[in-house]
Amino acid sequence: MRDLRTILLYQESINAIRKYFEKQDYLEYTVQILQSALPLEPNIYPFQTLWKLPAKSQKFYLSTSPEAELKKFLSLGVKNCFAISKSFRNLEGKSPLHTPEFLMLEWYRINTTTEDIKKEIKEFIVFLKNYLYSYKKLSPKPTIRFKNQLLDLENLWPDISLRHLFKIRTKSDLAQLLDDKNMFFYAKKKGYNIAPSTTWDQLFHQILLNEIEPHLPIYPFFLIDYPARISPLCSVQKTNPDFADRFELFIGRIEIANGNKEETQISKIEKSFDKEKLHRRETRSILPPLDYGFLSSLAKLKGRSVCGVGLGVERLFMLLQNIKDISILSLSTP
Amino acid sequence: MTKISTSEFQKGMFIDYNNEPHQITDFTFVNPGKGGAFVRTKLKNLKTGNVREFTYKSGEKVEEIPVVVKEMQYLYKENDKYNFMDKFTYEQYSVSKDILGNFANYIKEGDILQITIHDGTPVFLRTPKKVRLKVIEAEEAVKGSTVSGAKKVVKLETGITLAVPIFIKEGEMVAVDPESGQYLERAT
Repeated sequence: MRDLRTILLYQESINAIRKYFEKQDYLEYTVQILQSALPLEPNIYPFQTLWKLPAKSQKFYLSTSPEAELKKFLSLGVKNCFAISKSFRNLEGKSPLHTPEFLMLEWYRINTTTEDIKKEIKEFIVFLKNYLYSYKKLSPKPTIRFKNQLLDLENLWPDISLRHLFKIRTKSDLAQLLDDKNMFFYAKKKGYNIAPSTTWDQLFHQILLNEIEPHLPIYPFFLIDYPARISPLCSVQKTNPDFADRFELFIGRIEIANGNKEETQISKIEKSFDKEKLHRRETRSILPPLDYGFLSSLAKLKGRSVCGVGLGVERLFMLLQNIKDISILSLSTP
Repeated sequence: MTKISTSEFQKGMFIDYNNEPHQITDFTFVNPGKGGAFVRTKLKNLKTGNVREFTYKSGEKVEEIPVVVKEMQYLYKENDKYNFMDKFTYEQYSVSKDILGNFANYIKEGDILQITIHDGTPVFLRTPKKVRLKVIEAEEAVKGSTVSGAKKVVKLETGITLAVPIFIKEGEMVAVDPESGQYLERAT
């Protein structure tokens, strides 16, 4: 049920997010929603619209995330920055946790590591938890109640390796499955349906969703060791370049945020964009023009250690306030 | 058998999962971070009654199981079996208590219900949203008890007890939601 109290509290949490990042000396940037070109990330499809003028018309795409604009902002010499921005994703179904239009918080730091940024996420989420307790005139507690579970947000947030989870849940070595042939062989043996159009990353995620995700712990943790082949905008791990320097934060078995060290070698990113372009042509999917401004901003950041996090604002608020359906946060849901 | 895509999934639909007939009792869309689109389903095994989750790739093709939906009249109960008769062919079918679930508390002789048959066996009963039942035992409300929302417990013709507003009298009909077991209204 929609109620004014929840809506006001949600609006207040957006103010609190802004206060937190401004206090940490982050510069805010307001992302432009209408984009004429986008980075080509696998599985991220934009909504397209038409700008009509008497003599001509031009295609525009709704922003799918603040990432490209924030990296352009950084390349101008900004140190740390953030955006709270409406993002739109096409071809994604609606669920109690997700709608095609959602509010994304994204922030970037220069000269930092994913270890530092993990500490910062925890500090930020604990801040927001306490802020909401105080705003409701309750004394802040380390715990929250979510779906009949009591979650301690102030205890350790450990790293859990995907390679380890694959080993204990599927008895397979994820490093071996990075090879197409091995993955298709393994998935077929396990009874997964393989069509001519089935891709490696579909099988990887299907195994993850069926065999690993149901057994994830409910306490907050960072899932690490994501394959580099599905993380094109992420830098790779120094000791093992097959895996990305990336993490996903899970709390209450819900994916709350994705963070990583940014890849700044544009030749690698260009290669992944070319592959994606080919895939979209073959599947006749939405193919926006490539954002070359994004690539040149990355070139300017080359050699700098840039880390960033993307976080679903509605989802975090739902977790902190024990809300089960995202639709109660807006007055008109598509 | 017909192949259907996950985009055609509907709650209550029957599909083949691991060479066994299953019913989709629930489904939702999931998009893992940086991953494609998937459909998470809750599947009930029609043979064992076990429920499990399985996540399909969006657009994946699965086999739909052929079923027939028949209008049947409830006749009588024998041990844990509920006997129904096809209204048109007069064929009789025995339905197990597992399929009726909680609805077993609300069924009475002569009720007409929709039953799904797979391979000659009843596998699913569509529960009506509302059932009308007679109150067979009810205490008289205490005079002067005017507290708004006050309730009392009465016995219904199927033997089940129900919390109803105090104005409901013995012999009256009430409408009940069999899924939640809640009183809905006074029925005529």
